[in-house]
Amino acid sequence: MAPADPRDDPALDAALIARWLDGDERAASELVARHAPAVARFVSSLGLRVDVDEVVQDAFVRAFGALDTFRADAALRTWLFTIARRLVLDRRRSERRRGTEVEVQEDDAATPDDPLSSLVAQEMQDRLKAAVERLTPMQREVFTLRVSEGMGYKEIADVLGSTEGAARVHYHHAMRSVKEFLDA
Amino acid sequence: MRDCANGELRDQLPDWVHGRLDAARAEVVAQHVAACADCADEVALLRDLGTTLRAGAPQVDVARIVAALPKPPARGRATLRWYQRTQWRAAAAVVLMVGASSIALLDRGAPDAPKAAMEFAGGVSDLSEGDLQSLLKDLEKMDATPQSEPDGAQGVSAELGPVAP
Repeated sequence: MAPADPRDDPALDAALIARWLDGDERAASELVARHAPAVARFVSSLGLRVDVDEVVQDAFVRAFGALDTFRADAALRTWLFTIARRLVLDRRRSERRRGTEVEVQEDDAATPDDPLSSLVAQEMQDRLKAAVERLTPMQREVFTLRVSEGMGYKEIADVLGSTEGAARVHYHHAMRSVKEFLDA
Repeated sequence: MRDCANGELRDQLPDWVHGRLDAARAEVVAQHVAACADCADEVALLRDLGTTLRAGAPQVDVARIVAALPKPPARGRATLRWYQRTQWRAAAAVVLMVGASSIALLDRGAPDAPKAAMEFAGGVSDLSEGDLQSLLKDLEKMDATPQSEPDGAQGVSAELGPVAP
């Protein structure tokens, strides 16, 4: 059996949140360290090329500002992803109003100066990356949440404001597309 | 790369890879993957994809994020809302007791006691000596009313009789 993912331990999150609400600021560091990399991955998968760290920071600031209202029955990471996604959408809307938006293209994440290129050296990894970059924005969001973060369809639907059925369909279409690209 | 014909099981492969299935279901999936080449290939692909996607994420400065966070709502003590604090609870209890006592006292009189009292106050000079004595006796009975509540306020009203002649 595959080992349980400790990042998904809601009891640990709940304990850290309680500690922070009791005045323990170190708990905030632990919560940020646990979830910030995943939030950054997700924000990056949305096609945002700049200011990823700024969006991640804003998401945490907003979340902590309302942490006393956070429902313990929800997953903290899902909540953070929802906030981060809303921030990205707000940012795009704002840029559109100012006429400065650069539309997110299907290959936005495949820029030559993407730090990912320097990190991923092997040919297979390059191909995997290219396969994901070919997905539609919605497929890429769902696929990243499912494959990289291990989220269930219900959590994905919560983040995207969609339905479990739609998330499942997007995931399987994405997987089929990735396989076809790798087989070509 | 082919898809396994068992769609339900294939749907759970990401959950299995991330250890999100319960023990019984995880065992079923593990046995299937061990025997199914298509699912074994897909599991390998999922792991490679996960590694690739995680490796490509931008680095985040945890310390900078933490520094920007708001302060905890309470330092060094449990976060109680104002209505959860002892002194507020005590004050609320006193107010409730006073209010309840006032309502109970009004209920013990006749339903039209306030009206009768007003009428009485307006015409006290018209009362005879006998009326006054009767009223004083009624007032003494009210003072002697025990603190514990009887079963019904109606019984007390009947016992006291009318407040006004």
